[in-house]
Amino acid sequence: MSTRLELASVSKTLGAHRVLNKVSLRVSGGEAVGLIGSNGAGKTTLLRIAAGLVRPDGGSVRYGAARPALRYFGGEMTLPAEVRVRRWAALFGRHMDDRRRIGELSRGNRQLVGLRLVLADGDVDLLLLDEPWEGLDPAGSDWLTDRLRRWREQGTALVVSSHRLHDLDCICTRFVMLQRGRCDPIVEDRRPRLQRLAQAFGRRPWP
Amino acid sequence: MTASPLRYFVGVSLHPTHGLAVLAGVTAVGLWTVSLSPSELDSALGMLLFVQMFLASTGFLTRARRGHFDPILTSSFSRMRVVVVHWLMSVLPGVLACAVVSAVAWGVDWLDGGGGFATAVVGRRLLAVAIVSAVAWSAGFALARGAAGALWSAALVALLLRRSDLLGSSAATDAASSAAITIRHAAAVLGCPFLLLGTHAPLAPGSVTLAGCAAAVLLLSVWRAAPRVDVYLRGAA
Repeated sequence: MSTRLELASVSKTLGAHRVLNKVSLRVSGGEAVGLIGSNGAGKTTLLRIAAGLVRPDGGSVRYGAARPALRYFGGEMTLPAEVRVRRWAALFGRHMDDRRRIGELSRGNRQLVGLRLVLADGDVDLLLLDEPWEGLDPAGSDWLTDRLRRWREQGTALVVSSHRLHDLDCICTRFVMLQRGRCDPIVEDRRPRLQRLAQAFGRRPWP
Repeated sequence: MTASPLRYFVGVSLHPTHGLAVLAGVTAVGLWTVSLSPSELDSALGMLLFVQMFLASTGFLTRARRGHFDPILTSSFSRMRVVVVHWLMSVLPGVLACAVVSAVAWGVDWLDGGGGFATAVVGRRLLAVAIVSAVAWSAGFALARGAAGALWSAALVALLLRRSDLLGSSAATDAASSAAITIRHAAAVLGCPFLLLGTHAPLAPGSVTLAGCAAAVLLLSVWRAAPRVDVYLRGAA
């Protein structure tokens, strides 16, 4: 599969804090990359750089196409609370029969509204998701996992950040870990992958 | 998948409901005023411009950094186009209100066969609306919604209380002082576009054009700078 996203030696400093330090990452179609790291490691910044929302101080961001079909979801808190669900869905050419304002929904339902629109059918080269399982109940989590797996199988490139290792493990083909602004690929070895991920993250695989 | 920038900004409601309600109220008062006396057009426009100072400062960056504009900023539309449409949608309600009140004043004036006060100095009134629309939006680009309007009106009130003479002496003794007066008057018009309404203030020749150009340059600068601004999530690493 062709390369859909290539970050080469990307660096970013916010204020006095160097968030990303020469991070490189290449993602091809049909690949799902799990982005893990502790809070403040720079996962959100990396995803927003990949989405073109933040400009890197150094390095480059390249896409497989001149105008890639890209979808990004930064989480339920990025949805405008005062807008009605029905109106928001209409902006994406979808219908949701809910007249409530987004801010009136529970956190999990807000997350579902955002995800349903981002993951609606379409021709997408690159899908960037920031903590997509946050706030979802088990049924919602299963729906999301299934949906992401289908996107990957259709040939879309996925970059997904999350702390939920077991969910990431269900869909990701490989993982990278952000630590102190550096991006470390987690190499394959003989141990079960989830256990290895958890060790890289510094905790047990299941709570 | 995402709507056009125009449709998107209509959908996400750039203006607060109470702001639009105030605009509707002031427009109604303005219409009533000019229907009784078209010569009061400038009073009605003055009130509308004051509301426009707040309404046009919709604060692009603050909402963008909350993630509200992520879908349109990650779409295939250029950032410049998105920002220009944001400006258009920000100023549109106030501009429409001014246009409606002016049209009614001109219509009533024409029907009455009046002195043509309402139809006179169209250019200056248009420029006043344009300056407020450009400066309020540009100054409020990185501020919270309505903040630029609040700061601007507070500055004007402070000047009013100090009884500051914005225009100063208009007597030029040489070319240098004449240029200084023109620049001072242009700055006064830029800071207080209300000077363009009502009985004409004694403005130096060229100062009105200079003020209009300065407002246009300010607006264009913000449009040009916008694509280089980072839209990180507020509080996110």
